[in-house]
Amino acid sequence: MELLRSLTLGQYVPRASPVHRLDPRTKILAATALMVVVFLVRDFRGLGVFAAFLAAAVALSQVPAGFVLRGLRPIWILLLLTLVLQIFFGASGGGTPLWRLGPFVATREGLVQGLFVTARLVLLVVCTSLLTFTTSPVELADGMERLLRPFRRVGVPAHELAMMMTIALRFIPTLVEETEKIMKAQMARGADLDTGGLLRRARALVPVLVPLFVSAFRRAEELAVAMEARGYRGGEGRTRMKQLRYRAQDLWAALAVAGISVLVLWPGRW
Amino acid sequence: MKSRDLAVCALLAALTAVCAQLSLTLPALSGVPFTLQVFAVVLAGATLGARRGFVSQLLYLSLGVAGLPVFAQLRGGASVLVGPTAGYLWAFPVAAAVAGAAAGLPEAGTNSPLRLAAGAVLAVVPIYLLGAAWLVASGAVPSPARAVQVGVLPFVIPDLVKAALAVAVAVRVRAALARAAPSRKG
Repeated sequence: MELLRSLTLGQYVPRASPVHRLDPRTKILAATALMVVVFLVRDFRGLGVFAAFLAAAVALSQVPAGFVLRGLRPIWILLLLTLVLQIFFGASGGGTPLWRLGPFVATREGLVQGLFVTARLVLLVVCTSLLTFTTSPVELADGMERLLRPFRRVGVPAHELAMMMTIALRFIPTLVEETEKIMKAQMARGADLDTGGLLRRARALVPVLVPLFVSAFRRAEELAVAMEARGYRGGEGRTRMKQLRYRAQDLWAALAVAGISVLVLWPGRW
Repeated sequence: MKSRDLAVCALLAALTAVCAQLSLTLPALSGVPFTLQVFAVVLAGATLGARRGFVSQLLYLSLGVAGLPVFAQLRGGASVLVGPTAGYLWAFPVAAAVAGAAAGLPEAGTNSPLRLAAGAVLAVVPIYLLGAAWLVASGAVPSPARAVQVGVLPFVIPDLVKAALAVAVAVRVRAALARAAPSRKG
């Protein structure tokens, strides 16, 4: 199953680049800041500067450009739809007509806005992809735990979230195997899983899904007993193998992101 | 949170990831994915209750942010959670909480198909609301009316089928959990 193969590392592309070596916290914060910036951009000049910066970051990360483009594949239909919808309906209340298609009028304003919105979506996707291309899931979980730690006072369970992420990571492959096993077992008993319409197929899934969920609950129960038997008592005083530490390069990265944000959002032309 | 809650939320998040891959693909032009994801979201709420259901789905989204291909069609990565269809995903924790609140805790011994069905149908509402709102906000669709047209209406019937499936499975799973519960106390 394709799921099993890609699940252990997710989208992570292991390389020894400066971007990979940054602290995961820096990368999470930088990606968040850039996401906000790309939503605030108002003109094509800003998008251009942003795109140039992003291209430089991708080059620095040594992630092959093909990987980055492949990240856009799942949404290209949506991008096309966005463009078409904006061209025909983007300019509310008139605009300069470019050409007609039956009752629909394409306007110049719509075309410009369509290109702008599409470019912004592409940049958004590439920007966030870069985070997951250069940071492994475990690093990200660690980073999130540390970033959320100050919010523990207001009830955010930072340690628990990271712990649950690690557990889920560990059990996804197990549950995939279990699903296949149960499907085969039910087919051996005469279950017909891939014919008929939507309703019939949905009905056929019940004998697969019930044992799957019941067994997941049983596994959770066993895991909880095992954790407590080994003395797990939450995040307080827990030690970790990998310590996160900010270094000089993290400061440079933060400055670069701040600089580019100002450049991108600077009003007017120069 | 007790370690039992930790484990059970983590397992249900993992299970949502698995269910999202059990997809029936329809040639939908709009590109909004169509899968058993929603089924698992509703079921997580209906079997865990509102609070833990919410946590398990939040966790599911976090797995996606971390770059695992846990979403429908093996998509994953933070980009999916900011892309044009992100609104649907962000509504999942809320949807699970709604389903859980309507169903009540399985440990309480209640197992009413009527309440489960009400929860399953109500759970879809925040998914449509946030999903359509984000389609407009991200600029993918120019107007709310069109967002409903491309991002809500095509999915109503399949989602009702999934809700019905979730109710059928939830009744059986809750019955099994209630049977197992007494031995747990020991």
